[in-house]
Amino acid sequence: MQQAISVEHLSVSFDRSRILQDISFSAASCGINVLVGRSGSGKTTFLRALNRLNETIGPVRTSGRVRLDLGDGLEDIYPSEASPSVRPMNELRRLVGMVFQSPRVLPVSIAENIALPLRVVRHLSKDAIASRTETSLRQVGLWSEISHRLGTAAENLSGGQQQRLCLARALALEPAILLLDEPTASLDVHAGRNIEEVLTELARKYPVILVSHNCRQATRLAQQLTVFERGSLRATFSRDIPDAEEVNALLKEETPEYDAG
Amino acid sequence: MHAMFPPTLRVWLLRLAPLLLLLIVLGLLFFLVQKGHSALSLNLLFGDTPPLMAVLGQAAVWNGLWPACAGTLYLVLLTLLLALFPGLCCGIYLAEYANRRSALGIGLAMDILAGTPSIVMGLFGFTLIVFLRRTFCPSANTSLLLSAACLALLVLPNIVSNTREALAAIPRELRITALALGLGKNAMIRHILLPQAVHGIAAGVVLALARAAEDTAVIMLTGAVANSGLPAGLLDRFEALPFSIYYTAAEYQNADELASGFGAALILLALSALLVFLAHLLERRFLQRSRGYHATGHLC
Ligand SMILES: Nc1ncnc2c1ncn2[C@@H]1O[C@H](COP(=O)(O)OP(=O)(O)OP(=O)(O)O)[C@@H](O)[C@H]1O
Ligand SMILES: [Mg+2]
Repeated sequence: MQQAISVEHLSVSFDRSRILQDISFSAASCGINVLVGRSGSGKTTFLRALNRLNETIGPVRTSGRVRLDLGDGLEDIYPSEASPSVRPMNELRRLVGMVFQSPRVLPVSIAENIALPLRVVRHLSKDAIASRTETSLRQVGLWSEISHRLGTAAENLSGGQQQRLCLARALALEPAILLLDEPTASLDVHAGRNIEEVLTELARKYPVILVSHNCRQATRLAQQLTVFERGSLRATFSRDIPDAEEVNALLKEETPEYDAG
Repeated sequence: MHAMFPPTLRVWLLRLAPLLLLLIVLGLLFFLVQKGHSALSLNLLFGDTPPLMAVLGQAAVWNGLWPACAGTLYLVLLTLLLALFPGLCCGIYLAEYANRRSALGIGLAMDILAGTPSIVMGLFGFTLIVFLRRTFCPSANTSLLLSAACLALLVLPNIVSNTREALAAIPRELRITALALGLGKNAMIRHILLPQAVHGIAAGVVLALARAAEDTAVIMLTGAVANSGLPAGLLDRFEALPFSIYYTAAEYQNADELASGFGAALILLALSALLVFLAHLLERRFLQRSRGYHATGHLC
């Protein structure tokens, strides 16, 4: 199958401390890729390396090669000698949608959360924005809950509603790749299942990378499962996804080393 | 400290502070009203001229405060016009674009400017005119424009540092979120950060506004006069309320004139309050619009 993400020998360090080392990873042009790993193992840093968001956080050094398919074949996203010119960062970030671990709504109204990026980044008309707002809110199952209060502050939504709003906002921008950092962590089982259905649906068209701390969810959704351990890849499963118990054991196993290290 | 004040006493001390402030403000107001209320009338503003004609500028007012009111209003607005845009830009530059060294340098320059006494700024304007008369422009004279320019220099640091601090106080997460959505740096500043900072910026503008309205030292050296009628143009001299008050206080001949001085103080206070109120109104309108808040919540 066609590749949408190809990462070769990626290393990332912040302030001289190595966070990720020598990661090679690839993902197909559709399907859900789940990342699991202990807290602090570098999953979020890895996601941020894919839309160059690490660079906004502080002095960071990234080496290795990252290529993404953003519409016309695999392209390098970090400049190198082989490919000195790459896509501008704001364009890259628009095409690689990201939902953060903790909900990050903009301090504006619910509607404006979706409308503002569409207006500023995509230069869409009012009508197009209105229809896209509705579509993406329906997609994440939020429309019926909040369609009557779109003009109120997004910060007043519940945590789970905020997280779904963030997903809707990312979808409205029509990304080529979706990065989701524990999108269901603050949802109840039912709402979580709804989002999982949405993701399964989305994964038919988009490559989705999903970080999950829930082993059951991970094995339920994964077409490919990657285990992180202290900044490196421990294992990647793409055909025979292990069941939840095995994943759990895999994560547990590293505990003694983890404590010692 | 904890042992010295039991909790209830601490709460009462905290309550006392705003109460004291309120008392002082009320006391000041009471004093002004008591001294000035007898002079407060249309006559104080317009003298013997019919008010409507005066307001429309069709008749000159010779023994009223109306020209001073108009002069102060023009002065404040012109000062803001001159200071607002450069102040905002400088604040944005310092907060978002400048590297550490240039931020330090410019910040120091701003601090020096902020610490300049207004009489020094007035002398600066006065010397500038003297210099211009001797060299390039023999016809140059003290004027409304010169006063506004000197006042603009005086209030610039308020606007700059408020803008800078308001931007710097915005949490990093919000910036990262905006960048992750594909906004470029300029778009992020324009559409996300500035609307967030508007409250702090407005506070700086209000401070600047109040300072421009009350300042006497600058304008008496750079263009304010006791009797000129309505300001005829940017390059003409003008009357201003604080100068009228100062002038009355220095030269009054009888109790009525003194009362009219207090009346002028009351009018200046009301004018400042009105301007501050307008600034807050503008800020609220801007916030409502930029955040997309409205009651019904339907898409529009
Ligand atoms: N800006 C930074 N500066 C320095 N160190 C950082 C920075 N960001 C992350 N780290 C470190 O990198 C390591 C990996 O962090 P990361 O957020 O990627 O973990 P994670 O796998 O997402 O963990 P969790 O499951 O808890 O979210 C951590 O040890 C963290 O302290
Ligand atoms: Mg994380």
